Amino acid sequence: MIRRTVLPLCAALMSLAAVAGCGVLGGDDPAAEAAKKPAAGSSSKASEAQPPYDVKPLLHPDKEYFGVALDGAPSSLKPVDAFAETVGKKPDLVGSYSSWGDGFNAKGAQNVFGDGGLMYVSWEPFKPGLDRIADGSQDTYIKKYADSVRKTNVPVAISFGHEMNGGWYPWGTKDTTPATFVKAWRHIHDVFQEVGATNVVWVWSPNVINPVPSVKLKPYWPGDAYVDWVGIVGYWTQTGAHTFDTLYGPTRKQIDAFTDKPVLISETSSEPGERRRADVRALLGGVKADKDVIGFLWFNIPKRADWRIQSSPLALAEFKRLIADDDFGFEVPRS
Amino acid sequence: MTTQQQDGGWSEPGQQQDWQQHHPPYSEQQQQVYDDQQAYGQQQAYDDRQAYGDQQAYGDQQAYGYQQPYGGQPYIPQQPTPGQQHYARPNTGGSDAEYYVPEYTVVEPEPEPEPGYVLPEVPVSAWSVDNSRSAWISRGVLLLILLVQAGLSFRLDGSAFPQEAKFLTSDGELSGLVSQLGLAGARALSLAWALGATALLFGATRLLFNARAGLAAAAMYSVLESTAFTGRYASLHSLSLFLLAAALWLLARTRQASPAAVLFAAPFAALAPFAAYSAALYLPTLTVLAVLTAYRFRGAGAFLRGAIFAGATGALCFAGVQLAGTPSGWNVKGVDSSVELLKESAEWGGVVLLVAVIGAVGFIRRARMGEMPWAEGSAPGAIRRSLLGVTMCATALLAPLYQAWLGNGSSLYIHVGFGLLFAVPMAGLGVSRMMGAHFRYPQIGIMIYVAALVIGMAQTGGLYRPPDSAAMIGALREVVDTKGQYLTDDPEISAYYLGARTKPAQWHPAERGAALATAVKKGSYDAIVLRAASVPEVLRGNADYRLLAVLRPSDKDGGQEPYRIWVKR
Repeated sequence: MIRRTVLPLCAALMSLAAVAGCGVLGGDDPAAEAAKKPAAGSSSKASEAQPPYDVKPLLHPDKEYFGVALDGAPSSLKPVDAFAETVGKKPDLVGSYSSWGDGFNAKGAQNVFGDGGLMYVSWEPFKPGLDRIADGSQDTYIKKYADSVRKTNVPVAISFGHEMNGGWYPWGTKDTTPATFVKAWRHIHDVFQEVGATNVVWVWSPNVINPVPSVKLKPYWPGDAYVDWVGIVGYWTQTGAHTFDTLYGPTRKQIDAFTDKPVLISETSSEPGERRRADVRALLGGVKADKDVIGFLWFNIPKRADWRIQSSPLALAEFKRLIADDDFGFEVPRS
Repeated sequence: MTTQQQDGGWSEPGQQQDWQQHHPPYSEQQQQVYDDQQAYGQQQAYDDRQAYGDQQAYGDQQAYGYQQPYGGQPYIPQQPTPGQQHYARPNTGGSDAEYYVPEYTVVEPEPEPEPGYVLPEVPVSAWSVDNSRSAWISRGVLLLILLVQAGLSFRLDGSAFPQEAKFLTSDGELSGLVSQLGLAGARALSLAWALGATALLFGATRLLFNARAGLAAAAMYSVLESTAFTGRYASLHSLSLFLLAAALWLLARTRQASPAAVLFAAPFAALAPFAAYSAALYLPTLTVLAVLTAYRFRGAGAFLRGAIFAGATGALCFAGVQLAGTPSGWNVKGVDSSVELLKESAEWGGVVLLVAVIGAVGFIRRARMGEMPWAEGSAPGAIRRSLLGVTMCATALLAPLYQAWLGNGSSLYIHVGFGLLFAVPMAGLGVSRMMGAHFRYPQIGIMIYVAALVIGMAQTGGLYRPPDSAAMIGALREVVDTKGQYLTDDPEISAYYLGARTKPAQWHPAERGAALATAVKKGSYDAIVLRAASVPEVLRGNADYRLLAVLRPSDKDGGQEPYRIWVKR
């Protein structure tokens, strides 16, 4: 009688204990693990499982960005490596150009990030017109582009419609009003936020006002919430300004009136000639000295002029000497 | 398990109605009785003949001797034995004979030698079910049912539901104990209670009807959406169900005992609403069942039993309310569509309730299936059967009707299971009846089980979708500190998972519309976490907050909106 009662009781208790044991051991609670382990701790998960890259630490770096734009880069890193060998320092910002309608260069972005840097995209809306972008009729493309950026999950600097204050591009002052530019900018930014492409550093990048002094910059400003960096495009030419202050100063003075975002010399080079060496010294010296300037991006492509630094041995030597300063170049944070 | 129970009837083990009393299995002792009686009969006949010189009584005496051990019991028709036949014989006695009658002595024939062996009595049905082997088979099947139930619960996985997280961070006495186990431990404990409830349900149904109905009831209950869900839900719902099932089982167990024995069930019934308030709806059902299941004391005794149960449960509940306060949340009105709630309830419990109604109708029409007509025994009358059937089926409707009336669909997918706990014994009986006597149509039972299993699995898969909060927690982990104030759609989940870094009071529930706009403009929160398909207008291009991350659930078809996290610039 005792056996008849005890045996089934034991069996029931044992199976209950087994079931409960399975529950404790087999209980897979991803959120509990996420709460414990460091975000980048396990590499076993796919990139989708990695937390989105936060660009905030990139916005106000302690050191200066050292950027370069090269033919063939960043789809291939060979030109970057060659340039690094030429100047004796590896750039941490690699420029690229993307026409409206092109897909996002995800491979390039990963290449650069994998090499310790950050890809800088100049997104050029040649075709449909900024009003078409602003009214939402280009959203399919923007969303696709943004989704590609989001999935890459590496930091990317995007400068949409650079040199908008000049008349030489279709999105410039000739065909577009500042209001349309701002509307299009905000619209693109909003779509990126909807999609969740938060790994973007937004660079608002006017040309230096020296050639177009009558165009006021403020109407083109989308607002502090929409911009992370102010980029200034300003080349050192034979005939133009020849000090850091005279080349960039007037522009910065205007900009300082409406924002205190960090400034990047987002496209620059020096025209080959006698003054090239002095220009290089003025540029690098100015970037290093100015607390608000976070770096520069050297346009090293022969286009209309031979902007490559290696075309002038004296200037190259000066460049090598100055860029060797520890303040230039750093590895972009990994996460 | 007795034969009566096997037949799908009302069990009354207290009375001497069992067919085994009529046809005890063969044993040496009884054979002895038989032999003695035969000898007695023969001896009796001999004496009679000695006295009257008449052999006519011989056969009658033998028949009498054969029936002797059954003392007034209903007679079981048997093949007539030769001894039972009457042989008409001429009258050979008389002293006034006119012809010569020689004097002679009748020589008694030698009595037949005792048989070397006697075949044991063959039962009318060779299907002897009331033995320990069949009990073990029942237990084995029950174990399989429980394993299936555990598997169905383990199938469900994921991070904590907000309510689970709230339960695990609450500092209540019981929940505080359970929360020590963590999410996995608390869920495992819930499963243990759920399995216990199923086992008790089997026991109660077996006692009320029979083991076959009990197994069918346990099988139906184990695959319900609500059962699998509750068994994998870190809350006290599962404990509450277990307490109700324990009360039901004790009601069935004490049905033969004196009315006072029902007091055993009262504490379980009284505790259940304190584990989950929705259990209070079922205390009236338990009271009615206390009356209807009373066997020995039919009439006034049954009502006394009900009164004792109601009184004791009521008193304990009153004491509980005095000590612990009223359980909250039981009468919160909502704006959910009543029709929609009833429709959902029908989807979750409709099949089981339908089978229960079929079982109730069958039960009302006929107390038992008549598998073994010689073993009818006594059965409850039609009124009692009707009341039992109606009570059990109607109980399944309590939670849906109540919540539809409130317009509050909160946790209805769990609460339907409470009512179905009481309807499922009838459903078990229904399955047993539909399969017919001697398992004539097992395919019907299999069909119902498979249908219930598939429906239950599909529904649980759709309902058991805890927010995929892992990525959000991982991202917030880098953001939060011990001082910040955070506005979020999931304050409970965040407080639970980030309990090591924050206090629950740092998490504030987010609203929408004007309230959100006010909170954002005030800028008093260090982070804002919303589950939203798109960016709210107030946060679009906001000067104070920047979008840190948009985190999509890993299951893209899950229908969960992505988490959007904003932090102070």
